[in-house]
Amino acid sequence: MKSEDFQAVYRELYPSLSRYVHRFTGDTDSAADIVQDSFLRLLEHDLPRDEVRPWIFVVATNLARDRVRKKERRRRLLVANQERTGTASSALEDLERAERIESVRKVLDRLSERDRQMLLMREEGFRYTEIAEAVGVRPTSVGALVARALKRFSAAYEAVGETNAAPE
Amino acid sequence: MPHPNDGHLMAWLDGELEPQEGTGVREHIESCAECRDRADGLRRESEGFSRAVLVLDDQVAGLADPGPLPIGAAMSAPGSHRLRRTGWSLARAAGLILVAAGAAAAFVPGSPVRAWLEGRGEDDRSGEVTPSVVALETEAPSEGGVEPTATGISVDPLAGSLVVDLQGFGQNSNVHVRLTDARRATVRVEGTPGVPRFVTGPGTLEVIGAREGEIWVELPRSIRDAVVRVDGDAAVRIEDGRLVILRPVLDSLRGDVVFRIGG
Repeated sequence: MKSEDFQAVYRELYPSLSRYVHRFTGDTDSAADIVQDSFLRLLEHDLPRDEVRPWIFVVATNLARDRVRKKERRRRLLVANQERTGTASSALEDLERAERIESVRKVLDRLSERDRQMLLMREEGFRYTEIAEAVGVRPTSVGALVARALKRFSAAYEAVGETNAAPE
Repeated sequence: MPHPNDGHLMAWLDGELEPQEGTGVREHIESCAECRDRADGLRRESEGFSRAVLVLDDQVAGLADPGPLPIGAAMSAPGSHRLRRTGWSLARAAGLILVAAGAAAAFVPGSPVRAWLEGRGEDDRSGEVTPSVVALETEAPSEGGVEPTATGISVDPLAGSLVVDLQGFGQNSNVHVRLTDARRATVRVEGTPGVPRFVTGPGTLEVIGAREGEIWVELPRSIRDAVVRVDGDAAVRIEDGRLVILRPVLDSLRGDVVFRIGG
């Protein structure tokens, strides 16, 4: 890919890919690395322009999946000596925002990987045919799968909200 | 037509059905309260998901601005992580400086920028909404220390359809229309003195300005049927995923189609 083409693609796709990967992984630093690596891999491929977007999202999803597995292994090793890297903020609104983020993250993580990928790709404006190709289902099944995934997310998110709101 | 299943309703809401099939679903829903309720439920769940995941973006500053890619370093030494990290940090720092005002405001709950990012205006699909103000990305503050501002709103198409109605803008206003891969349509107005008004309804967005300005209309590529009207006259349509221009074009640059309201 020519440098000027690559830069145009980078500028166009960066916000959407970055948001998607961050939502998928829940890890800001990993997401930044994954996005970079995805674009660097793109440099090594000469793809037709209209194939770049679905291609790079699939590459980023695979990289994110690997990261999540490695992170999970590392987490298990460290669990005996767990450290919290963040410090609790005294600001109520920071706390509330952090709780909302944690709730959404928890519910997203409870979804199957396919449901998560489908919902987040749909959120980035992918057509059903592109989503179907990325997750390996028939395009005519995507509507039903998305509807079910949304129901699962909504039910779990509501349940998490009720749990958080319940008195101890 | 028999009751559509959830998959069909979802595809209809996402504008993914063939036109004839979509018309069948729409007509059925108009006469079937049960399916209408199911479609409303799916739409609420979809909007709820969009709102929920938006909060995750709080953690990423400068998400919308990629900044310059360290392309030279990356291309000459594709395996050099150190170079990439250094370049990336600089790029991020530059990006953050450029969008400092907007990005900082984005972290403040209740701020206009936050509201714009969350698309709160579209929650009320049947009434006037308060426009929200976003800071423009700019390389340097303008003279006198006054930052230029822009107003904007994003809306979901209704069953793959959307009408954007621009009203009351001056004759020298330029309208930039482009297709994007986003799910939502976005309209931004820049440079106009005063604040334009945005009025949303099911599948419609009216933008009412009073003076000259630059109007940026971004329409989802996935949209099935959309029209941008100026004072009631159709100026641009989407047909088969392409922009169809119905009036003289002033310029066409980087995928934007630009026309002048008085042109």
